[in-house]
Amino acid sequence: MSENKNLDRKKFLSIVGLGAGIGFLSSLTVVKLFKSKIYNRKNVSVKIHPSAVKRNDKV
Amino acid sequence: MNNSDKIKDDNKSYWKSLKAYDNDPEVLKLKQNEFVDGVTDEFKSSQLPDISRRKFLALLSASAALTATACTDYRDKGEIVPYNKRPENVSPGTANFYASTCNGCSQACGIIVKTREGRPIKIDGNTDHPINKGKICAKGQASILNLYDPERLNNPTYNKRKIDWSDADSNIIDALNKSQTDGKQIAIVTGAIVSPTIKKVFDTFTAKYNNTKIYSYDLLNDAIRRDAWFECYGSNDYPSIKWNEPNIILALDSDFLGSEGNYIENMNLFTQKRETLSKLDFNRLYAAEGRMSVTGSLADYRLRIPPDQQYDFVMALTNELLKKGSAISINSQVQAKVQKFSLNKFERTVGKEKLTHLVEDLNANRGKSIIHAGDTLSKDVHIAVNLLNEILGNTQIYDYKKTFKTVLPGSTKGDFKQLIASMNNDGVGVVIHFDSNPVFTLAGDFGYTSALKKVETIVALTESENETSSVAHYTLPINNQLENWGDAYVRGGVYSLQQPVISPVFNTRQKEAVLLTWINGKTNSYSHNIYHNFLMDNFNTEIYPRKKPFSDQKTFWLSALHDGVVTLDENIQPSKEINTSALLNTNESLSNGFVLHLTNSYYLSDGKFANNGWLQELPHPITKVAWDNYAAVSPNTAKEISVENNDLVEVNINGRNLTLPALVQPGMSDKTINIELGYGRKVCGDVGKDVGSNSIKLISKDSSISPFIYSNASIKKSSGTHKLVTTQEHHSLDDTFVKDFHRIRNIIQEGTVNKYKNDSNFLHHEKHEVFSITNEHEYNGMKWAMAIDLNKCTNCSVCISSCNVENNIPVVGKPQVERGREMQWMRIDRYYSGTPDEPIVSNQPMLCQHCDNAPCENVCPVNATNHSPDGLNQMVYNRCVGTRYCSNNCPYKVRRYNFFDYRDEFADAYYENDLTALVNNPEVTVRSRGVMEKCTFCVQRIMEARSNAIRDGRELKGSDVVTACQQACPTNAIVFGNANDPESPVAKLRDLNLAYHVLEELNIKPNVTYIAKLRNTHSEEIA
Repeated sequence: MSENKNLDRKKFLSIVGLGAGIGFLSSLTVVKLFKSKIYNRKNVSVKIHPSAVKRNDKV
Repeated sequence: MNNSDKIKDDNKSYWKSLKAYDNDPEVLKLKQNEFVDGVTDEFKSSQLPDISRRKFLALLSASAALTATACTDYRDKGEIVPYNKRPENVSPGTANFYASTCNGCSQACGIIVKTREGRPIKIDGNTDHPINKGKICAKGQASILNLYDPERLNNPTYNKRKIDWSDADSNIIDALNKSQTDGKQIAIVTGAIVSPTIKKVFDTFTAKYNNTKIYSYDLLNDAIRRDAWFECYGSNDYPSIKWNEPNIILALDSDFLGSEGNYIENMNLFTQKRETLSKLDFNRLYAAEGRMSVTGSLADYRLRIPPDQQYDFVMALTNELLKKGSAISINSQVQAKVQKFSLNKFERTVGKEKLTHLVEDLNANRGKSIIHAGDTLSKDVHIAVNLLNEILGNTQIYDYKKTFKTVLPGSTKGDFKQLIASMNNDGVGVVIHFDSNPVFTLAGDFGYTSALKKVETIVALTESENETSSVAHYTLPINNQLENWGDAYVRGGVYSLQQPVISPVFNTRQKEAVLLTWINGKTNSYSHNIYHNFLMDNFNTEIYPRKKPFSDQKTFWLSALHDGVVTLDENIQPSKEINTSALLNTNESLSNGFVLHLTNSYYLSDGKFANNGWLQELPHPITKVAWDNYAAVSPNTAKEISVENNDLVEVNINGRNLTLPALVQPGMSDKTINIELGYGRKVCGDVGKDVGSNSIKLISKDSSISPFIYSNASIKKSSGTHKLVTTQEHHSLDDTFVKDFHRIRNIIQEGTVNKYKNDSNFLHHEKHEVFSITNEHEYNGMKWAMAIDLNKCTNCSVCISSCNVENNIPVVGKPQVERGREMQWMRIDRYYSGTPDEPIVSNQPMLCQHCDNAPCENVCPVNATNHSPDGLNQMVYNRCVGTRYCSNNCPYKVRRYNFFDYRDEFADAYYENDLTALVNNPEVTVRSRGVMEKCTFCVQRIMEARSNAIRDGRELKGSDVVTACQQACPTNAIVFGNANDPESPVAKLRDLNLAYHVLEELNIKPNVTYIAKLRNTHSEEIA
């Protein structure tokens, strides 16, 4: 029976596995690109107020 | 001859089976073959899989590599950027401190804000501030999280669509001008105003738009007290109380130690007369209340009196004491009125003995006692209390130097009725909500919301979306308190300044600056320092001339900002003689069925802090419930209406009703229902939305006694239940099935003042003898230890709040708290003893005891927890594999396990964002899933002090280190230091004969010492 099949179980599974591996690795790159370039991060601006007066000497 | 023949010849035969005995051919064949049939049959190699061992191993390693890749967190964590161009005077790793003022409530406590690399990470009290003296409340501590709330508003909106500030300003200025032209009112609705400069802004605004009227309203206020004081003395400003002076204090539904007035100041002063190290000179506290408050839980004597009967009680007390004398003259009309009341009415519920003690104590301590009525009681009670204090000559306990001032008088309900009528009649053109939320906080029967919707232009100046902004046309985001300039004048002689410790994080503006822009009438008149300049000008005009300092204005301004507070010499005269006739207009109580008492929430204020996860998760000081409010009823009332904990009940007053869960509270007066305000927000961030039930619905604008007390309430069991989560059942050391277990195991050890005076060693008579079978380790150098004085601990939970902020404690949410997984390193255990009707409440802060013979250290399989040379029980997070054996072995149950990465887990990763991450203290590891954590005695502070000592070339002293809880404790109940230094406070407390350790019979040698509480009763017994 196996002689008649062009694609036996072993070959099928190896193609699937290879495809899954390539797909996974490429998705990592796409997600990373997407997150860094397209997705709008909330820009958090942390700046000391220029007129604030410190009191490090007397805490 | 073989062996078998030999065996046969010896007439001995060994056989394994009957078949072997009979020499069965099958058995003989088996004997000959080494292997069973079929085992060594030949196999066909063509039937084996066509994969070589090499290929198989290659596939195995490839799939393992893929799996490993999949397990990594590939999310971009951002860039690490070197701090090359850093601002002047900022050193990475070194904190900067700024003085400012807290806006959490109208007390305006002085604060010091610690910042790291430009971002605030901790708020503590300002030691220079003469009122709060270096301490703030739990709300103030946790309020730092509000700055980093991811749901803070970022941009102005018009009908929920984003617009620019310039467009918003332009449209609103047009609306104001139009309102002016049309002769319509412009209403500014604000909370309590304590800033003289804001008042000046309002005056300037009113001068420009002269149709403007200011409406000032706070849900939680002292308006009733001020009104009563005005009736008695003709002034709205009333004195504070010198709580450190009276010998006898009677609190009438007055939670002065827990939630009313400046309770931080009150606690500090009160506990000055609870000192055990010096000569015992304790005050005696009587609490007459219907609910169980923090003050009541600390009382030496507790009298259960419903809030609607307090007037009768005060008058009866006045009658008794008037018979024994008076410091002032009382006219015959007042005398006749007072004589109608008698204490006999209260003998059944309170007990004759307690009443006799009270009368005798007050009489014996005339001039050295004080009676204080709570903010929620009626004006009549306050007038009666003012008179009684005068009769007893207690006015010398009043502190006129620290009088509570009025900057902007609050609006009356008549004012609001007029406003609403005007709104309904199209008489109001613009309503500006100046950081207020009247849609939520005003009583529903005012009809404010429906009237508001008829106004043409509604503006909400707010930090976050709320019920009012949801109906507003313009929602304009304002700065957080840490981004603001400001000032405050709450108490006589004390002028506080507020400065921004961070530039606005988002596109927000200071609300005062917004008004100034509208006053100028030009959108381009706004600048980021418009209000800064206005404040400075006001300071130079009003404050500088009064101080007459040697320095110039600029220098004085900078020094005032540095200190955060300016003290002024004010010659405040005591009030003139009391108008005793004010009592003639008062009315006796009309008790009718159930009485509903609405009180201040301990941690949420009027709902302002509902979206603060730390505060929602902080257990209620009495019930230990988190993430909810409830209707508290006494055990007898619960039996009467057949309810148990968690059963839903419907509370009804004149058609206003509310369904919420019931909680059976020991110690409450019968037929009293107590519900806390501030819950049930509908428009709020994800943290606070729909948490609890909105009890403001039950408030009426036409209340007869007070807006917070209703004597014609009804309550009945409803269908269904609502699970209330409490923290008191977890980690408790006692067994709830065993009564008074905490006393049997000496977890709580208490006595009375009289017992201690007669026998100062009473704690040690029945001590276990503890011995060790091994050589004890000696700590010859520094040995860190802590002592907690239970006489001073008021269960305020500021220590817990401070610890949460300092040590990056995650919020876990209600479902996890239900499973006992709250992550607070410190807890305050609350125990009851006595009877359900008259319980005695004992509190005990519990944290890691840093035991010398720690049972947790021996059982860790990976040595993740060990002991330092200076006595700390250390935790190494990256060694921990999460067996939780240490927690299992800890008898105090103080170890907290990260069952999840709670930043990710809580509320769909609500706090997992770039903004909230800024609140974390960089000195403390942020723990992830799977590790155990616990109190570290603030090891980061110890390390900082040690490195400072090394830098300065000196020895590290115990007093160099102040733990977060110790720093925050308003009563200085927590003492930390070097136990090996005999002069240190902690060593002295450890040697005190009132000192004990919890579960010391286990010989684990805990390093947290508790000082036994002494109750100041008349006998040697506690109850």
